Amino acid sequence: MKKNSTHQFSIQFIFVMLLFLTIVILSVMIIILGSDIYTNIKDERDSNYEIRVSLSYISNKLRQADNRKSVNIKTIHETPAIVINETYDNFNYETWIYYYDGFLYEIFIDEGTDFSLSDGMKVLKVDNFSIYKKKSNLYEFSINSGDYSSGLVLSMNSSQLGGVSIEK
Amino acid sequence: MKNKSSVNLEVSLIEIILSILIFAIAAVIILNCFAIARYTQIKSNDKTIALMKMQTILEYINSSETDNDTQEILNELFAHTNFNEETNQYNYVVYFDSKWNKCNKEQMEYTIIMDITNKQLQSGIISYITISTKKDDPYPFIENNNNIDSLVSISTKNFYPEFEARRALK
Repeated sequence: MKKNSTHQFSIQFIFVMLLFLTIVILSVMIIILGSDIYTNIKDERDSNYEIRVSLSYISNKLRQADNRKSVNIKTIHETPAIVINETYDNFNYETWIYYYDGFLYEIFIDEGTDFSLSDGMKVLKVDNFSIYKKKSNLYEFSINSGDYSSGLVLSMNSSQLGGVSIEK
Repeated sequence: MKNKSSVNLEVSLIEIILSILIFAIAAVIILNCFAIARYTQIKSNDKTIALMKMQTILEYINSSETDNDTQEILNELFAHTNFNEETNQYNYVVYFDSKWNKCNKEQMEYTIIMDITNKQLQSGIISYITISTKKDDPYPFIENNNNIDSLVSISTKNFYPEFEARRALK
């Protein structure tokens, strides 16, 4: 009788421990699943933010400079760039927007000033950025970030310089 | 007495079962929240891309000088075009797959629909434009089959002055 009661207690103990173990394992699985889902959400939100903000930034920059012959596409150090020409106090300045080393860069310089690509200010982190001029007042931009890529076509109300000029 | 070994558990089986039941209910609620969060983020990304596509189409319309130019551009951008003579309305439809590449109707995941109604004014033509993007299947956990709203919808107008039309005809 003593052996049977001892045996029953052992089985009961093992069964209870198995139930607790099941609860622990399921809890850990839910935590890991939640962590993976949150990581995916964060990564996609970052990619979405980079694409949306970078394209909005460029479109706002170009719309601010929507004057005749103020926007052009040039190449510097084999890198295409958007060049916005502005005049302040009878001095001509250029704003260059280009892609370099995983970032969207911007630099504001005197017209005709030489600079290296790393001199600019980092604006936003993107994987790739391309510019294409479709017509005299129609530009196409595309940006890649993570698994996402998006393009934007922008129409300028004023007519810009025709074609693409290549420098340096 | 010497060999006796036992564990006197004061927790009954019913209590353990109740705790597992409570845990299961909490797990179901939490997993539901995870799924809603995931598909809400997917819907947000789709809205961003849909807005970019629609803005691109509207920028093409903005860049054209006459309504005929607009129709030529839209005929290239959209797969299907219909004209309703009663309402004088053009209807354009284009289909996209899950990766937002243009496709045919069988592979479609997203649809962009544009309706344009032209009205002749004294000084030119004004186009009333409504463009919207819809998803073919509802998002799980956040939408049901009876309530599929459009992802994004924009209503706007574009005016073609008469002198631009005359210059374009020359």
